[in-house]
Amino acid sequence: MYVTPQGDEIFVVDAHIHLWDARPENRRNRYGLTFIESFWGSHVGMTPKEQRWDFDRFCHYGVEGAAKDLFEDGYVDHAVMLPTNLHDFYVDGFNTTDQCAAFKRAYPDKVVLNGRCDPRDGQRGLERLEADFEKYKFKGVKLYTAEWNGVSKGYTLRDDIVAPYMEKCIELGIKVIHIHKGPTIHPLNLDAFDVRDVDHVATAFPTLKFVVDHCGMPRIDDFCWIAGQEPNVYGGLALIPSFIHARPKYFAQMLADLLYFLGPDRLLFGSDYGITSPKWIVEKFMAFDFPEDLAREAATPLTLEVKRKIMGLNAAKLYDLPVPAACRLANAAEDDGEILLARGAIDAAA
Amino acid sequence: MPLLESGARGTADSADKEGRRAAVMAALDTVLDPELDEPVTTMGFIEALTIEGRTAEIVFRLPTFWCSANFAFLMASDMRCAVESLPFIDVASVRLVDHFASRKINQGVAAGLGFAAVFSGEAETNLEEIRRTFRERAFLGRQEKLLRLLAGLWGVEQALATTMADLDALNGHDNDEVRGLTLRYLAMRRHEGSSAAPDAAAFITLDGAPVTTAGYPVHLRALRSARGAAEANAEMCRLYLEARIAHPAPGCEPENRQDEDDD
Repeated sequence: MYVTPQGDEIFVVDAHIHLWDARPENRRNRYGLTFIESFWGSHVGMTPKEQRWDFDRFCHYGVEGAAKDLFEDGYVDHAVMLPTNLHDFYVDGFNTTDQCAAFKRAYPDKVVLNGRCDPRDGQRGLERLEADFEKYKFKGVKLYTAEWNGVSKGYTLRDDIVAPYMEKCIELGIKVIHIHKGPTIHPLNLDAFDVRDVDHVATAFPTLKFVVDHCGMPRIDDFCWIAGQEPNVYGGLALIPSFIHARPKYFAQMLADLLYFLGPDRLLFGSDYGITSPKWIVEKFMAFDFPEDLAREAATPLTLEVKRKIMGLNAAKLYDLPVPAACRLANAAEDDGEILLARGAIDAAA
Repeated sequence: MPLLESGARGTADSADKEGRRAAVMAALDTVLDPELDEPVTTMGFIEALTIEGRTAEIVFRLPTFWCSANFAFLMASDMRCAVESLPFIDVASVRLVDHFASRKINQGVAAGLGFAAVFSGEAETNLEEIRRTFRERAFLGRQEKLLRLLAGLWGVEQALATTMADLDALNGHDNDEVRGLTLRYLAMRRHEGSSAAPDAAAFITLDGAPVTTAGYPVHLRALRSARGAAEANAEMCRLYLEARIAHPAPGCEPENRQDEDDD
């Protein structure tokens, strides 16, 4: 919960967090070091100097460290976990669903755990998804189209292998599909950072909600164009708000585009924790307003209501999270209706 | 080379050395990061340059270990071409460091191999296709800057009526900003396949159609987004590179550098 200087209570959902382990003993090879090194560059480059961590803490902050950074210091009411396996680089994986589950166990009412799946795993992957769902009952899964898998160096959501996984998600009652479309691991193919395939799958499965994490950075313009046309595509902002300190001008420009094309109801705040902590981003975002020219381009004024939506209400709706009365919108009737409808759909599917 | 008094020989040698160095750097200025449409020099990618006789060695480093191999390969091969086109250089040896595919890229570029040969079985997308995609984005980005400037000076209608002949004239304009942006746009406008006849429209869409007054707001919006995306990305790269140099992760300092490969 963030409270503005005027006393308004803001419900905060950090829709993109990790609990990773990049300690030397978990690194399988030099890639384990260089991978976390790339993240470290992002941490140092984006985080205000006085808020930076040391490298050891960056490699592993643990359940209690995360709870402090997010829930105590970072104003976060609910945190959404996005797992990444990376078994090729890390002995026990980098940030697997199982690793993330420790955080969920410790803070069951504050943590939203997501699963992951890879359509290239065929029938075995479907069974794994089902077993994981049985174990964790998650509401969403993460797909990472640029991830390497055996001989495959990535896939697109246009591939035939994807549909059975979407159908399985619908059958299980998983309604949120996170798709990592941002800076990639081991990027070789154009497909790895192409966002146009989202269009295909969003049209084919209109009852599912697709969150494009990192808004397709660096292809954010392509993303805006596609998301503008597909009402079930959401922008997972993680990484974009991080620009607010080091490069506020570009943050403003990207947010103006996103608001213009997607409107205020489909953008989800995310800090990309532990790349950096939400505390300073939340503070700066709440104090932020567009310069005049970008306010015109955004076409949606950045009112307190709009900030409430981006900061937490949109994610709350997506994940059916309870919102305290003081944090809701003045005219929230229609929102409640949609939540009930979504719940009904899950019950029917289950 | 100017004739020299014998006593001035030492100074002249060092002046000559400086001159050659500057010429190599100027050649590198023409090499662009295809994704960002910015010179590799102003992006800060060039870590070291040494010239021994007729051989130049260029060491370059990207913002992260995991930057795209395809762009890294393009930049490395463009650097080699640009520097070897200088009359006083026979061999330009380009060395990418601190990158997951550095060995492959360095050996491939030295051997004059294509990207597909170097990364056979790993990259399915044709590199030329990627280059084209990003050239298109760069074209739009350059157009946006010039078009916005001219629309501000003359009004939208007159700016859109600009012909190729007008662009040539603008290239000699006394305002540095107008001249600089015109030069950058013109260099790409001529190579985009559409008519470059003197009376052809200067400002065209990717399909080659002239931009109309009615279509201007939507077109400008698309241009702005494309340029904004590239610029934000370039800023991110700058931040990461600065961080990598100023605050290297323990174990990743230059003295711990390793020859990398992705095998």
